[in-house]
Amino acid sequence: MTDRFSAELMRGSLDMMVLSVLKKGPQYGYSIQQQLREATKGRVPLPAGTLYPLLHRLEAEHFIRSRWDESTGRRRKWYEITKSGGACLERQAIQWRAYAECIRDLLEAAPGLRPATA
Amino acid sequence: MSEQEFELYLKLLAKCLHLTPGQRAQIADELRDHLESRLDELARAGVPREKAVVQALDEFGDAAVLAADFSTIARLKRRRLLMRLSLGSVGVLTAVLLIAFAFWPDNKAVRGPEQLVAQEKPKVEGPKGVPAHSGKRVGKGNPHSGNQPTPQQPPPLGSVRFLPVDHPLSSDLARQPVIEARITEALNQAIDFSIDPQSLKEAVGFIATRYGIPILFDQKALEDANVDVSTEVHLDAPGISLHDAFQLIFGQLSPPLGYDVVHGVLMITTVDKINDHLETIVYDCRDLVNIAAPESAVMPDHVPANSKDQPGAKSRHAEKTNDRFRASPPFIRIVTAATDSESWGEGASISELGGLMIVRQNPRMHEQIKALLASIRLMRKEGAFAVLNDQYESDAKKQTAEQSGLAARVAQLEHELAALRTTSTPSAKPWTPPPAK
Repeated sequence: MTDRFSAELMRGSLDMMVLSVLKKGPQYGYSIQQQLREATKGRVPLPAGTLYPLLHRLEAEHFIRSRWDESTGRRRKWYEITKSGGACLERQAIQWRAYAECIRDLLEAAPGLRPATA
Repeated sequence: MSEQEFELYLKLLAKCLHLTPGQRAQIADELRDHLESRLDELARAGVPREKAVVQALDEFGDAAVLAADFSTIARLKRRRLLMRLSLGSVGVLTAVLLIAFAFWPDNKAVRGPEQLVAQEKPKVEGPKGVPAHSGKRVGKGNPHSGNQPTPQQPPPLGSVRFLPVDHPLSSDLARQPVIEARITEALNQAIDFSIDPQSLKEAVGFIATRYGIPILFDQKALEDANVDVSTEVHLDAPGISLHDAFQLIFGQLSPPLGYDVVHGVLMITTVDKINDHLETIVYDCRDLVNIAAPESAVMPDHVPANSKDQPGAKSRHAEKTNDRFRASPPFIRIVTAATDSESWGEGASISELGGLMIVRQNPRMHEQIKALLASIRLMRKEGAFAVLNDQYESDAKKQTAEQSGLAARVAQLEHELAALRTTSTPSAKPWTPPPAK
């Protein structure tokens, strides 16, 4: 089993990860963090100190919007993806798939590397 | 069961947030919800309460750092709103004017905008891909690549170091806020995209999203300099650093643009404006204190005698500048002599304190200084100063001895001693035959 991904590796893709979780429907911060953890088998921990500034920035850029809900007794902020957020996700996804393919080809061509364990 | 520790943390965070009370309360509410959810989960997993509280808080990290991040983003939001408002009002005004024009009796103005576009295009596309204004910040010969050696081994993907020498400690690196450090890091990364022809605004928006860094246009400066952010730019040079990518993109515009990292934002503005922005950086030069530099080597412009009769404010200014730093430690003289001497006027300063060099200058000059210090350190690493130092020391010794007449005195003493030896011990071997008496 592979360990957690290094922060360096994840830096450029955190926005895309959060947007793709929100693409499934509205979420609040804690649930985004949990879903990301589950979906990546704990390899993307995304600490709260990183997650919330990231959410606020995405909101400032109009990729997501938020609303408050108090129906559960606890004041909770829900986020959902906007149209431009969806478009941004789509663009990034295309690039990342192509990027991942390039890297895979490159690694497969490199002699002496152990094959991936997944 | 609201945890005291949580409230304490949220209070501390709120204190550091430079936001309205309403915004602060909202952030506190959101984080409180997270902390309590996390605590519930940890409790369910059987983690003792105290440990769970510490763990939940740890995941948020330092309150001051988090507050700085939130404040920066809130500022970004405010600026975007202002920008939209001003853009909106410009849009409305333009629409009103266009309608008024269109319905104006006997108007021939319909061609106006077309003509404007036709005139502007060649101007934009002329210097295609060539940074038209080298020497300025835009194409400054890139101090990062010019002085850096090729790395021994390929760095990890997307990391090109700003300064190659292992001693780049200066106050701007040591105390850089988190977000600015992130911007600096992004600037050093190799890009893996190309930019198809599109407006500068769109291209910059794309870069901001891709790297997750706040980038703003200095609207006022750009308007004053008549820079149109809808000018088309393009770039196809994957693998270069983001810093260099910006230079190439900005090189396609006129007048030259540059960027400045201020208040946690990468601000795109004119080169003139950047040069006006002075900042103070403390460079750690304790390792350079002992380098001895011959005065003549660092004062190429200095003309001591009849310089006053010479016309040209430039050379007089350079001379004045060098005079000012004549009594300074060698590395300060090196820095002032090797950088643009005209930039050491108005407001700029350089001083030394126990091996620390405190410099107030614009970012362009700071880049020059960093590159210079890096080169000196690199040369020293190669052993260049070992020879220079020895040679300098022996030259200096000789000179001092001659000046004080010591050499003459030594010769005389040797002579007297020889005379003495020959009279007392005539059989002594190594001495020359005694002089006839």
